[in-house]
Amino acid sequence: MQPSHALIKEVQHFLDRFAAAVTKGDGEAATKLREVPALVMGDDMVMEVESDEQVAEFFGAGNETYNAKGITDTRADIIGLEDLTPKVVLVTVRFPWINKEGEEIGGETSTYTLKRDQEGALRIRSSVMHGAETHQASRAIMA
Amino acid sequence: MAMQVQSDAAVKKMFGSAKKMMTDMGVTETRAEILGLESLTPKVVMVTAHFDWLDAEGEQVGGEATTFTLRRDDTGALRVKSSVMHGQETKAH
Repeated sequence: MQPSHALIKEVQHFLDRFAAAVTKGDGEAATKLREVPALVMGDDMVMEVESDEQVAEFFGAGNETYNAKGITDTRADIIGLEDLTPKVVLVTVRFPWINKEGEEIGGETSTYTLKRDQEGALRIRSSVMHGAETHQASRAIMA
Repeated sequence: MAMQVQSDAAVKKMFGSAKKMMTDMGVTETRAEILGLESLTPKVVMVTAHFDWLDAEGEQVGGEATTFTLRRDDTGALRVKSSVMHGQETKAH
């Protein structure tokens, strides 16, 4: 299904909130964006997320990692969006890593399966982390 | 619906139920047609497949599409880690 402009706008808004929650380490905001049980996977790990507390902890840990790398900001650049069913959306998004000088120092891409909850709000049910980019790879993407 | 599959026993039970449902619908065979395939990482693949449901006469009586996230296990074999069922189609006679 080809996504409508309304859906693209809704998903972009969702991801903007998600990016803000990640950079602020706002676990409470994060629990509103991810519905449990959820699955997070990458090449090196698979993790079941079973509770809101686990979501909040996961986001808090992510924030510390980003701060340690000098990342203070990001934004959500949608790379691909597919409307699988009326309630399920697949989105691939790149998050550039931006330092306090506003420079891009890396980035990461993830694919999320979003499903509407009982109130109709989109929430993450599974994530595939494609892996972090090196600064060099990030510059190549920007070029 | 959303369902967690926590054990090999649950996988077997789910496949057993699906087989019974297919048989009740007169489906004896199916074939997978890949609609989309994306290699997300060296170990993770996302594939959307359409399964035609065929009856004993080889006629298509319906079908379904599913998007699977496949991840390589420790032996390098691809295994389903998550599925999104797009819903069943029925063929009007």
